[in-house]
Amino acid sequence: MNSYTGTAKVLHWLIALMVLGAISAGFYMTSQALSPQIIKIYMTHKSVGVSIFLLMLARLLWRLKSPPPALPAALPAWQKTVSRLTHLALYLLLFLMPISGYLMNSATGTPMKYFGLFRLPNVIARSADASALWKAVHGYLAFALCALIALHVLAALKHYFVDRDQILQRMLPNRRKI
Amino acid sequence: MHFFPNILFAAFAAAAPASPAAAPAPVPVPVPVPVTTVPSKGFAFNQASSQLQFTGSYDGEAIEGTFKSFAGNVQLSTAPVGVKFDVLVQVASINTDYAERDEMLKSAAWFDAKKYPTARFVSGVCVQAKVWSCPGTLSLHGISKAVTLQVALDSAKQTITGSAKLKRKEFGIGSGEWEDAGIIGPDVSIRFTVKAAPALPLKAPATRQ
Repeated sequence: MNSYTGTAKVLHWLIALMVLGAISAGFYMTSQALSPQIIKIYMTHKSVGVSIFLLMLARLLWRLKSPPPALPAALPAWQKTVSRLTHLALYLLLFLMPISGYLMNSATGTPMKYFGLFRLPNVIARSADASALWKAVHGYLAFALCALIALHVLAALKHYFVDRDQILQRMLPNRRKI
Repeated sequence: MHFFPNILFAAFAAAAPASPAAAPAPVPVPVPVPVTTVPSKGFAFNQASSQLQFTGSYDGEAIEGTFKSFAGNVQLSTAPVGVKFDVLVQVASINTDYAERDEMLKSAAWFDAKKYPTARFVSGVCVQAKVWSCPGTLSLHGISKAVTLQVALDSAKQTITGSAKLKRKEFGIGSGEWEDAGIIGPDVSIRFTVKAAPALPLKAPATRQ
């Protein structure tokens, strides 16, 4: 079958899971008053974000080495274009989200520890203005990412349930032949 | 900007509360004093030329903050050699470069800046050992406690720098679920740099160190 590689699948679903977790935690924690428990959620959210960034780097390198399978020839041209743009935007946002979050954390001067294990450096100078700026960027990009994920998921489901083609299956685990 | 008249300072230094009081220390309304009337052995300072910083801990790592609005005065005497401080800090000027965190620190569970808008440190006469040690009383968040500043005079730079170590719990800073030192640690250190006006006789006490 015209399928993604196993590595690409693992990266896709691992990142998907982490992104859903990070987004859910992000909307939840920012809707609550700060408390020690909420701060722990912030800390985990930040470490998950750094992990997503690293996994996205791996994924980008893998994609360059092992390009995705071609889209079906029967697919209308506009759908191919929209698909390429959506994937490009998803890649872009999955880099920009952790980057803007990291810059926001650095600007606030908050010490960053990766899952409590070791310290990561703050990369820009502390400033209230930069904190507010990157917080806003991170927040708006989160909504944009949600919209893109919704589009991505709905398109995949439409291919499976309406078009009944093999687009979604390209990213699913291979069926073992019995 | 407001400076304390030195006569007020002298009165407060003499009447510095020795025992911790539950109620906030009454703070007199600062009276502006023209710079020309500041006695030659004292000077006033504020945030324009000086810094007041603090370091707390977050997840075991140092995290910094400042107070952006404060005013006070320093009295220097040569016989006996001495230094005295009186500083009034506007609590709501707390700044950690992150608006949400600053709001939290001003809230009732922390500094409760609405109820306790000012903090004040009044020292007695500082004692010169290896460094200057300034015993005094810090009134913060409605609680007055003895606090000793470690102070260094730098006659070349015309600065007075100092530090103190506090336990936030002793002043009821961070109550309720914040009280137990988990993510936000119990220890807070304070540092300040006071820039003396060049014309003032900082040199006399400093050279005797």
